[in-house]
Amino acid sequence: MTPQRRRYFDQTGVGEEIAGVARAPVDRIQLARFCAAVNDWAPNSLDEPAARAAGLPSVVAPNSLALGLLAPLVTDWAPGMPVLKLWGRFFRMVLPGDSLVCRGRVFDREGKDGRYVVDLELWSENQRGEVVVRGGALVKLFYSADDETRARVGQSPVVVNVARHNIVEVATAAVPPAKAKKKR
Amino acid sequence: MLERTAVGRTTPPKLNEIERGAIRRFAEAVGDTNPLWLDTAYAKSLGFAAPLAPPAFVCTLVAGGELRTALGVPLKQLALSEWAVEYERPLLAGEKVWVTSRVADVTSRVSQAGSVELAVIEDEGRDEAGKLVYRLKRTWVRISREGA
Repeated sequence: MTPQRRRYFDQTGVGEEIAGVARAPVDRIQLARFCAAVNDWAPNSLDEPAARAAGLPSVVAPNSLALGLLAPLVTDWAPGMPVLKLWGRFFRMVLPGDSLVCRGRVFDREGKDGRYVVDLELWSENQRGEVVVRGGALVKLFYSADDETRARVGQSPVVVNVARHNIVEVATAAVPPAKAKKKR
Repeated sequence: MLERTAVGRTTPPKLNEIERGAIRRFAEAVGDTNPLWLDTAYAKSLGFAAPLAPPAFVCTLVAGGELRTALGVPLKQLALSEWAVEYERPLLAGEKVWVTSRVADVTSRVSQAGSVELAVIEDEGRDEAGKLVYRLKRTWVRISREGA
């Protein structure tokens, strides 16, 4: 398996954009697959006559699909790092044929007592530029490659306190960082 | 009106196994090709004992009952308005979690479009040792397409 690049806290900045990802147009097969995967047999997502009888233009995607399409943006951006929170609010229905583009940016970041968390803003838009879902995620990162190495060998984390809105309060290391190798 | 007396209703816990096949089907349904969900060797290289479930996978897990039916309106009148999961730790393939569901709130608020009725249903997943793994909060909004 090709190793994915790590994402480190010290290389992220508030306002940094996450590269947008265009998802393939949603089709009825995908609706069926998703409904089966989440075991939610919603007639409005699977049964065309039922959906029309309910006043909808056609079957519609379960709202959770829009979130399911958005979430990989986070886990691809920070491979293998724990997602502490993921949320979304739904604004538009997704119909078959709609193409969603998932986008995000670093809204804020905080480092406290050796724990580093980035606050991501996430949203997706349809082909008309309308926002379909807006949400966010909190992701825990290592401060740096050194911090990750220290964690792996059971050493205390690198401590750099970074207040939200990117104001550096205190910068202290739990242990002298002298042993850290110089970066190329 | 949504049934306010439903607030506090709780389901019995239900044991859910985090099946690898279910993770694969979920990832495939959203086109998520991250190897962390399927590849044990890759997961181990990142320090995990087994592949993980993707963060949104918890929407496949079920509690010991469906509390939306306690809100007193047909299910088709309820649309998912907000969804939020908080994790204490990642969910691993192969483990088992007890899921319970609770009606946390039933409320109405006034918006430009008129009065909006909302119900908040919270799920909680605990591992076999009883430790909290995640909380999932769903906010349902009542829609009346029948022109009521």
